[in-house]
Order: sequence, then C-alpha cells, then structure tokens
Amino acid sequence: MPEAPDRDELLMWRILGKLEALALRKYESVLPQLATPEKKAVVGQLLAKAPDDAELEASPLGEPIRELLAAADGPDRTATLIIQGMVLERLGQIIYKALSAHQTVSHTTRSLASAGWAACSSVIEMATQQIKTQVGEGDGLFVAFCTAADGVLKRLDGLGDGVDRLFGQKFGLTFSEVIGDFTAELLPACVALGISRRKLVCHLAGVFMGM
Amino acid sequence: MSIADAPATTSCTPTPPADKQQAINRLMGLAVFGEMVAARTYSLMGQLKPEFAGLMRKFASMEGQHASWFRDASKANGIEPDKEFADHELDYLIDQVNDHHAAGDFDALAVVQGFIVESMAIAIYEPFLTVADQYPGAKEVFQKALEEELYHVDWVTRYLRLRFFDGEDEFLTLAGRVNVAGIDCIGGSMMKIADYLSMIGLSGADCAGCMMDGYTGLLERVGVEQKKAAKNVVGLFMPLIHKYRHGMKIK
Repeated sequence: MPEAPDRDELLMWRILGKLEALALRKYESVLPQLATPEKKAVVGQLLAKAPDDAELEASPLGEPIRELLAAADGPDRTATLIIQGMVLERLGQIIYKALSAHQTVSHTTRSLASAGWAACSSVIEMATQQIKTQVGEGDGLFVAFCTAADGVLKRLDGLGDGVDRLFGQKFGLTFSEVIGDFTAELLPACVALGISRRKLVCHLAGVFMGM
Repeated sequence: MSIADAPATTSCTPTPPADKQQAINRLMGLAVFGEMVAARTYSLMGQLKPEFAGLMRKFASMEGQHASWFRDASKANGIEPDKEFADHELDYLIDQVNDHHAAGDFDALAVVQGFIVESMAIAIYEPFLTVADQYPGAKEVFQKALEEELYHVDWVTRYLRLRFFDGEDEFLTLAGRVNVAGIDCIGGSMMKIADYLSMIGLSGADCAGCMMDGYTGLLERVGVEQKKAAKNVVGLFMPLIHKYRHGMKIK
C-alpha cells in the first residue's frame, strides 16, 4: 500500500474538503455544537493536502460540485440540520467508509477516511437529536425534509457520470452504489424519526427521476 | 439463451406516447400479455415441484383469468392492448424464466415471478384503482386482480420464509443473483412506462417508488436485514432511474 495519496485521491480529497468546509461553516454559523473538534481536524487536513481547485475544475466534476455546493448552502438551522446533518453527512460517511476499506489507496487516505467516517457519525448522531427537538418528527419532518433537501438531492444526479468515470474503477465507488448505500442508510434513519418509508421512497424516486 | 447472454439492449427507450390513448394501449398491452406470461411462469414452477403442482396450476389459472378480464375491459373501453410494445418488454423476462426453468431453479422463479413481477403489478394496479373510473368496468377487475396478486405474494413469502428458515445468507445470495437481471428487466419496464402512467393520471415516480419499497419489504419479510434489502433493491434501480432521467436506452 503506498504511503502518499496519488492524483486521483487528492481530487477526492478536494471534493470532500469543499463539501466538509461548507458543512463546518454552516455549523459554525447556526449550529456551533456540530462544529466538533474532529470535524475541524478532518477539514483542516483535507484542505491542507488539497488546497486548490485546479484539478477539480479541469475534471467533469467541477461544475456539478459547484452546483451541489450552491444548493447545499441552506439559509437557516433547519436547512442545515437536514441538508448537512441528515443528507450530506451520510453521503460523506459512505464515501469515507469505502475509501477506508479500499486496499489500493494510500495509507494516508485510508487513515483520513477513518477519521472522516468517525466525525460524520458523531455529527449525524447529534444532528438527529437536534432534528427531533427543533424540527420534530413524522409528517412535519417529511415536509421539512423535502423543502430543504430536494435541491441537493436533484443535483446529486449531476455527479453520476463523473463519479463513475473518475472513481468507479479506482476506488470501487460507482454512483449507483453510493446512492444505493446512501438510500439504504437514510431510510431506516428517517423511519426512526417517524417518516413513512413508502412516502419517502416514492419521493426520492420522483426526485431522482427528475419529476 | 442464458441470463448472462441476455441482451442488455433489446429495445430503445420509446418516444413518449403521442396521446393518452396510445399510453393506455401500451399499459393495457403490458397488463394483458404480462398476465399471460405470469400464467406460464406459475405453470412452469408447477412442473419443477410436483408437491406444489396443483397450487401453481391454480395460480396460473388466476393469472390467465386476469388477462382475459383485462382484455374484456379494454374492448369495452375502445382500448387496443399494444402487443408489439408488450412483446418488447416481456421477451427479456421470458428468457430469464426459461433459463431458471431449464436450470430447475424453482426458488429463482419464485423470486422473479412471486416477488419482482408481482411487486410491479401491485405497484401499478393499486394506484390505478384511483383513476380506473374513467374506464367503466376496469375498477372491478383490477381490484379483484390486485387481491389475487397479493394472495400469490403471500404464498410465495411463506414458501421462501420456510425454505430459507435460518438461511438468510443463502436467501440473500439467491436474491442478489436473481435481482441483477430481474430488476434490470422489470424495473426497466417500470421506467419505460413511467411517462405513460403519468399520462393516464398516475405518478410514474410513485409507482416506481411503491415497487421499490414493496419489493424491499418482501425481502425483509423473508429475513433480509432492512439496510441490505434497501441497498440491494435501490442500488439496482438507480442506474435505471439515471437512464430514465437522461433519456438513455434502458434495456
């Protein structure tokens, strides 16, 4: 296993760094308790190792990532809890898990991915408690979820081809698998918060189908 | 032809239908001829397990009856079930059924027919009841067909639960093996008719979601853990959804 991350890994670091930096900025502004030391450490490491956008902008993922970041820049606590704490932290968790378990990536990336996974897990847990008290549960939460998250979920589709092309073979990360894992994680979490699974699956199908 | 050799691209994503009449012709074509394929599949299943031959004959007869009811309801409403469209959709399924039958694989047929195909039928028939009044006589027969599809699923669920009692991993392996082609085929058809469903007043996305959730739930009832079941089903649906959204060839 190589020690240092290669170019593809650094591109992944940059993408994760931008998404994590936005999450941290949102937490610091409206939910400071979620800006954990672990999250700050992961963001610092990602941005230090992959500090500029040159590679990302030259890749097919440049524009879709810009669009995703714009959609994820929700205005308030509820939007931040749902977009970051419920959706993007889970997506990050899945990517970190895949990277941390991949045999051919560098030791540095695997180690960072393990730390990233742990940071996401702890934020998700805190965000879930916060969602219960601040947004509520059941149908009310479902409505809030759709309002806040649809813009982000719609833009995930734009990442599909780029992710498959750049990371499919290299990291074993295909868009379908990531979204499959993401949905599989999201569904029980939402059901535990009183959201009807059938309603959510139908809604997600509509969003991903562009309807 | 083996499943592995089955053509991944037997037809193109059809151009959205010109009008509601064409949409209902195609949907009813899939319903009528799909029911006939279902009748044949249950009949083949009966050949593989003599102890269930009588029951499978009964199921086959019920499916055949559905086809007949749907044909009559179509005729009464000036609907011409589109056989050419249905054939395009069903050829891939028939190949899978033939392969599983040739391999003597009753369990694979139970999953394909009893879970995947029935999940699609239920996901469409149930919401269709809410708009069926525009086609006099259709509501009664679709209601009855829905009840009988649920009855078939109930038996298949009980069979698989017992067959794989204390064998969840083995069942997950079976589902994983069958799902690759099964969801590509049946889920692909669902994507291809999504716009037709919308045209007759249903939501194509809701039907697709109900099919995904329904099938996931069935896997859970046999013993697959919730996350694994969701991942297995949604992960296979996602490429189809992506293709649908981008107007790409589906199967």
